[in-house]
Amino acid sequence: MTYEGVKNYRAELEETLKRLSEHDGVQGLVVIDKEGRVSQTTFDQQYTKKILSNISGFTSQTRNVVRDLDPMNDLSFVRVRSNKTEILIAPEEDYILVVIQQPSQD
Amino acid sequence: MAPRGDRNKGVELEETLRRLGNYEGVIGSIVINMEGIPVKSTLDNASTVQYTALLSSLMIQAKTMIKNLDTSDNLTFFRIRSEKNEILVAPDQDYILIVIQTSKEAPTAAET
Repeated sequence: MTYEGVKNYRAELEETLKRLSEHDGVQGLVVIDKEGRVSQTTFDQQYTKKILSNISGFTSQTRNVVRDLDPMNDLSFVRVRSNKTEILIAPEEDYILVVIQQPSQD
Repeated sequence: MAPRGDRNKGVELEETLRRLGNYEGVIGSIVINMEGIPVKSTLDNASTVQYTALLSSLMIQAKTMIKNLDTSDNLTFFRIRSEKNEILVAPDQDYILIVIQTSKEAPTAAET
């Protein structure tokens, strides 16, 4: 990718993440890179740390469960709902996108 | 609310499982009691044992995760979508309900 290409890509990425985080009900989001480090976050540092330490591990475990049940299968999405929040986890090849929002109405 | 007898619970359970089984796309459902023992299942023994073991421990992790993020919060439900199917885990006071269904765009048991 050219330098211009990379700049555009980053700008588009930030734009998308910003739009996502401003969506109704969304409390915030975190992007975790392949190395398990936070590459983007809309939360404060303390909460982001909590998310990183809890969600990365849970996502790996979930992926393992899917593969244990069927080695040909793979995880595509996880949704964890609690009384106060809903955590959406989208594991991609190069990153994990985590969105935390108000629990959706049934 | 008057306390429900064990027999009523058993009947309700059967009824719920039957209704669930009738939805299109539902591959199977398992009910696990508080001791982690599957008490009802529409899958074969081997699958039941496997799902129970893997998902019970994952559920505990999910519960812990929610508590770590907010000690006053509680896990109510979680949904694992994979390429081939979708697993829904619904912990309750006395039971854990697991439903396995096909992933597809059409509305499924969980959404209706």
